Amino acid sequence: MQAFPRTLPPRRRLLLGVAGVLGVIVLWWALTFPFFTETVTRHERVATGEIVTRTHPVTGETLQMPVFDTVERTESRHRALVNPPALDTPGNTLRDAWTLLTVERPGRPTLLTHMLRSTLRILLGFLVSASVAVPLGIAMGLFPTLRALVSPIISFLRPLPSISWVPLAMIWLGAGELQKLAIVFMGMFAAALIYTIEATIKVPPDLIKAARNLGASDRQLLWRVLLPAALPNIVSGLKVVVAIGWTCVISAEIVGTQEGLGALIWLSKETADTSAVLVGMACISGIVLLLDLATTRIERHLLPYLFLRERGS
Amino acid sequence: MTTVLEARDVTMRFGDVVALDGLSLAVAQGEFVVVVGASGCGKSTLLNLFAGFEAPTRGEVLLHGARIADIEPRCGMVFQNYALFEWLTVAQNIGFGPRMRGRADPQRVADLLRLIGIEDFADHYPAQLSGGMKQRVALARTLANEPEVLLCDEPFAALDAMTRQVLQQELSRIVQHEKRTCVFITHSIDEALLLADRIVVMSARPGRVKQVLDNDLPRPRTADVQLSEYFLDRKRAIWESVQEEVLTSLVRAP
Ligand SMILES: Nc1ncnc2c1ncn2[C@@H]1O[C@H](COP(=O)(O)OP(=O)(O)OP(=O)(O)O)[C@@H](O)[C@H]1O
Ligand SMILES: [Mg+2]
Repeated sequence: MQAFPRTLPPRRRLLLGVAGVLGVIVLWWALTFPFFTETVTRHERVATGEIVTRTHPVTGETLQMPVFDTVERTESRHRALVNPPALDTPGNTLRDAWTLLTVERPGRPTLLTHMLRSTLRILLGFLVSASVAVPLGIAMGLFPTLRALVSPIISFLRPLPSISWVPLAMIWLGAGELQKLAIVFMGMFAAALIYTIEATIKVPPDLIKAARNLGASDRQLLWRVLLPAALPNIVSGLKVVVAIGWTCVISAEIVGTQEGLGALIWLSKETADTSAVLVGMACISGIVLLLDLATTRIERHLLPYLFLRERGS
Repeated sequence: MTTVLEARDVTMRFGDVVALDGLSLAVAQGEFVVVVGASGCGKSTLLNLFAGFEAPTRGEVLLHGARIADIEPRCGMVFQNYALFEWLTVAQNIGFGPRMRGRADPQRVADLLRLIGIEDFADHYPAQLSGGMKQRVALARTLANEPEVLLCDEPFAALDAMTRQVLQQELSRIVQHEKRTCVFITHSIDEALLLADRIVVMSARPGRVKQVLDNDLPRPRTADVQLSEYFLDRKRAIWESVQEEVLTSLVRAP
């Protein structure tokens, strides 16, 4: 028996994972299950049906007035430890999710529209930032002069969270799609650039020496050795960048849009629609997981030699 | 015998560090020269000069009497850590050099695969090979380029003793079979005696040629030869010579 075993058998791992998720759902359910009955007493004015005749003290008119009585009403209500709007039951939340998914109301796009819109914004931002950052990063990795020139600017940009770009983006670009794209781009760019530079620098010098020694020209060295050698680290860096994209798109959707998971979350906050907020968050996680699966697939296809060891062949 | 590769009064400085100081060495056609010396005495530096990766601070490095001015593909290098291209298969690795020079030759690749005994692994990737097999592939990749001189920088240092023994014999066989000229660096005196026609002992930094020994042990150098009195005598002589330099370099180590 190892004190700190490094891995578990896959079945155990799956079972424990399922147990963890079920645990959270049970806890949620327990918190929102209406265990208590609460008695609420209300006082209501009720007309007795009697009519009295009075004379108006100023005008002297004769007025017919109904007689009221105060009646005590008790009502029993079911209460949970946590109640809406803080948190609804798992069942109700699921029903709300279904409604969000299927019912389209004016000014409230369906969940699918939200998901598509955000994913599209991320992918577009990713394409633009990667297609600038990857070539620039490789060049910076190869040429120390360029690296020295650009590095200070990157050091300045890197710590800025994507949300801090929202004001400038709005002032310069308004609140349209271009502003969203700019925020996503800025949030991803520095990270993509840094990962690419690192990957390029990390190519072992002996590989370059070997290629040179075997007679590779500058062009061949770049295309046949440097790029393929750096590619695995560039790809794994870009996978992280896609995940960063979500923080960016949520920032970008704070203002000026009705569509997108960010918009859904921010707008649902206004109406204290907890279910919608939760559903929005769950969708983000789900899409990130799916995207990760997809990119790993692509990676396996593009770089099969990286996955040989684990197959044990 | 004609001289193929020559270092003439070569000095190499890295800033304040003098790695080589007035070193001269001539390697003849078809000769197997093994260089031994204390760590940091400039052995790798010498090999880098021969391959044209660096230019000497002073002196000349010549191939067939012509100065080596740029990276010299005719001096093929085999690295200690294999330096294989992970994204290429074994066959593609071996064919890399000829392909880069526009002379792809599948027949030569097949021949080399057979020569080093890894035909069955032609379509495997380096990650699927053991250390010994990787070094065979690296050797074949360098041979595929038909180098005039084979430069080996401690190629077997990372291998286990048994694999090393096998590869030493194979290298010996291949170099003789292909009539290659070879400059080989090692820390192992046994290895030097097993492979060399001539053994060069370098001094501690700054590196110079301290001693040159002709190694006339009969080939093939079987286990019997390795256990003979003569072998052990030579081993003792070289070890004493190297030991002095190792001690010097330890005392002077930064
Ligand atoms: N590129 C470089 N820049 C600065 N110093 C260097 C460089 N290359 C080598 N040196 C120095 O030159 C000296 C000789 O180095 P070299 O690598 O040739 O030694 P070596 O004999 O191959 O040692 P080892 O047996 O440990 O491989 C060392 O002191 C090393 O620090
Ligand atoms: Mg060395």
